[in-house]
Amino acid sequence: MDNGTSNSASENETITLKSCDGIEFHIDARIANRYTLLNNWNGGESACIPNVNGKVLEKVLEWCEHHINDPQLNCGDDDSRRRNTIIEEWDENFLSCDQDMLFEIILAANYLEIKPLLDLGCKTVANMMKSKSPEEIRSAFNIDNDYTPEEEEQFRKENEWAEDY
Amino acid sequence: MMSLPNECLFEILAYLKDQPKNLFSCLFVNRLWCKNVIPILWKELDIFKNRKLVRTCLLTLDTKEKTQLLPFEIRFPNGPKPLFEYTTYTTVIKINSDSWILGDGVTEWYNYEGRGYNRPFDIDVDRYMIQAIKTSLIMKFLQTEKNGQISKKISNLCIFGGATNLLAKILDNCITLTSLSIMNNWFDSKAVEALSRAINKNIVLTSLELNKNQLGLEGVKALAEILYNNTTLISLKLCVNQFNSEEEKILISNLCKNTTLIYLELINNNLGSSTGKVLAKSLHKNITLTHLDLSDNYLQFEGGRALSEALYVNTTLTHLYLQNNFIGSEGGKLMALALQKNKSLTHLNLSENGLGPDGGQALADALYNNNSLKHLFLWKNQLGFDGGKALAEVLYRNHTLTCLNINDNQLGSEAGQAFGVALEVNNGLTSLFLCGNNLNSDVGKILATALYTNKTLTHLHLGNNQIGPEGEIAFKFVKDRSKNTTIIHFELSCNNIDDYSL
Repeated sequence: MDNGTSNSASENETITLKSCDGIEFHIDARIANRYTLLNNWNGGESACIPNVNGKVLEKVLEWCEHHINDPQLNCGDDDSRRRNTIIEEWDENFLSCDQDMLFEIILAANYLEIKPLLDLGCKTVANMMKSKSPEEIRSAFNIDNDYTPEEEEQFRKENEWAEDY
Repeated sequence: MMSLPNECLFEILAYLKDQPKNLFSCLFVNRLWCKNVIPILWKELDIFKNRKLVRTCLLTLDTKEKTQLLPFEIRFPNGPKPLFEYTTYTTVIKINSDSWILGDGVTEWYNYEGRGYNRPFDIDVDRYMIQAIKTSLIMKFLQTEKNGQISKKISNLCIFGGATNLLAKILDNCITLTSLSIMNNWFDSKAVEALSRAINKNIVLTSLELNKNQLGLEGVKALAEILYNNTTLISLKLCVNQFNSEEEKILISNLCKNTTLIYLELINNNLGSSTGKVLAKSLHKNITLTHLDLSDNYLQFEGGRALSEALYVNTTLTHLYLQNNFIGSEGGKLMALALQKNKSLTHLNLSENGLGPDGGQALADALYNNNSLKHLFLWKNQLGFDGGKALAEVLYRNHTLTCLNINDNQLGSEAGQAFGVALEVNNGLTSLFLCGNNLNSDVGKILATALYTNKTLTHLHLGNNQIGPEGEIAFKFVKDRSKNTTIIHFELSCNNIDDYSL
C-alpha cells in the first residue's frame, strides 16, 4: 500500500489554485499529487476552478491538508466502503458547519473527484437521516412532498416489510 | 436552501443500505427520493425474511407465473400491480429456510393468509404448498430477462439450510453468479449433479462457499472434479464439513492441482497431519494462493513442520491462519526459523497452539530478521514471562509489525512493563492486544507514559487485567491533555474499574 508520502513532490513544493471568484491558494504540491484533478488547475495565473468559490475551496483544501498523510486506500468496491459509517472526531467537527456549506463541500468534492471527502460528506448527511420520520427529513432538508395519498399508501403496503426487517 | 444533484443523493442513500428501517422512511420523502431508494432497498435481500416481503413478491408474479401455482389453490394476495418491478433490482439473494420452528416468511405468509378458508391444516400438504411457493419466488428472483431483454444479473446467491429439494432447480438457473454459497444443506444426488452442471456452465463464478453441508462421497467426488477442471474460481471456502478420510483424500489431492485459487478456507474439517503434508507440498509449487486458512484442524507438529518447510520455498502466500492445530512449541520453533527466510508472509495466526515460552522466544528471534510480517496473532499460547518479554524486546528493532495480538498468555506485569518501554522506541505497531495477562496498575501507568512519545499506536487493548483506577487515570490523562494525537482507542474493560473504553 502506498502511504501517500512516497510520491515525487517534496514537502516544500507548492502549487497555486484559484477559485471561481478569483481567490488564490498556495498549497502543498503533495495534495495535488493525491487528487489528480487539482493538478489540472495548477498555476492559478490564468486558470481558475469553475463552480467552486473561495469559501468552499478553502474548506476543501483545509480537509486535504489535514489528511495529507492518510494512507491512500484502494477502497475496493462501493458496497464494502459504504458498510463503514464511523466518522472520526476531527472530520465530524470539520463538517459540523451549516447545511448549505456541507452540501457545497459535497458538490465540490464530487466535482473535484476527492473521493474520501465525498464519502465523508455523504456519510454525514446519511447519519443525519437516521431515525427520522419522512416528515422530519422533509423539514430538515426543505423538501416538498409530491406523493398522492393513494400512491403513498400503496408504497407503504409494498415496502412495509422493511420496517420489521 | 440548496439541493443536491441526483447522483449525490444516491451516494448518500447508499450509506443506509444495511438499514432498511431508515431507508423505509426515506422512501416517503418524495418521488425523487423513492426512485433512488428502491434500487438500494431491494438490492440485497433475504427473500424469505418475513411475511410482508413475501406478500409483495407474490404480487409481482405475472399471470403466467401464477399459473404454475394455480393447481395448489393458494389464496393469492389481493392488490394492484406493484408500482415498481421490485424483483428486478435484486442482485444479491439470500435464502434462509433453516428456521423450521419459527417459520420463515413463506410459511408465515401461508399460515396468515395463503392457506385459503376451507383448507384444513395438514402438515404434509402445507409443506408441499410452501415448497411450491418458494420455488416460484426463487425463480422470479433468479429471472434475469424481462420481455427478452436482460434486465439484471444475479451476482451473489447464498442459501442457508433446508433447501435440499430446491437446490437442483436453483442451481440450474444461475449462470450469472459470481459468488455462490450454500450452507447447512444436505446434497442429494440431483443437487450434486446440478452443482457440477451449474459450475461447469458458469464462466464467471469466482467465489464458492460450501460450509456445513453434508456432501456425501458422491458430492465430494463431484466437487473434486469441479476443482480439477475449473479455472475461474479464485475463492473457495469449505468449512465445517467433517470429511471422512476417503473424502478428504480425494478432495485435497484434486484441490492441490488447482492453479487459480487465491483464497482458500478449510476451517474445522478435522484435517490431520497427513493432509497438512499434502497441502504443504503443493505450496512448494503453487504461485496463486495468497490466503490459506486451516484453523481448527488437527495438523499437529508434523503438519506444522511440513508447512514451515513450504514457507522457505513459497513466495506467494501472504496470509496463513493455523489457529488451534496442536502445533506445539517444537512446531512453533520450526515456523519461526522459516520466518527468518520467508519474505512474503504478512499475516500469521498461530493462536491456541501451545507454543509456550520457547515458541514465543523463537518467534521473537525471527522478527529481528523478518521485515515482511505485519500481523502476528498468538493469543492463548502460554507464552508466559519469557515469551512476552522476548516479543516486547524485539519491538525495539522490528518496525514492520503493525498488529500484535498476545491476549491470554499469562505474561504478568513484568513482561507488560517491557512493552511499555518498547513502545517508546517502536514506530511500527498500530494495534497491540494485551488482554487477559494479569497486568497491574504500574503497567497501565508505564504504557500510558509511553504514549506521550509513541506516534503510531492507534489501538491498545488491555481488557481483563488489573489495571485498576490508577492506571485508568493515567490513560485519561493522555487523552485529555491530547499529548498523544494518534491513539484513538483504549480498551480497558474488566479491569476493576467501571467497564470502560476511552
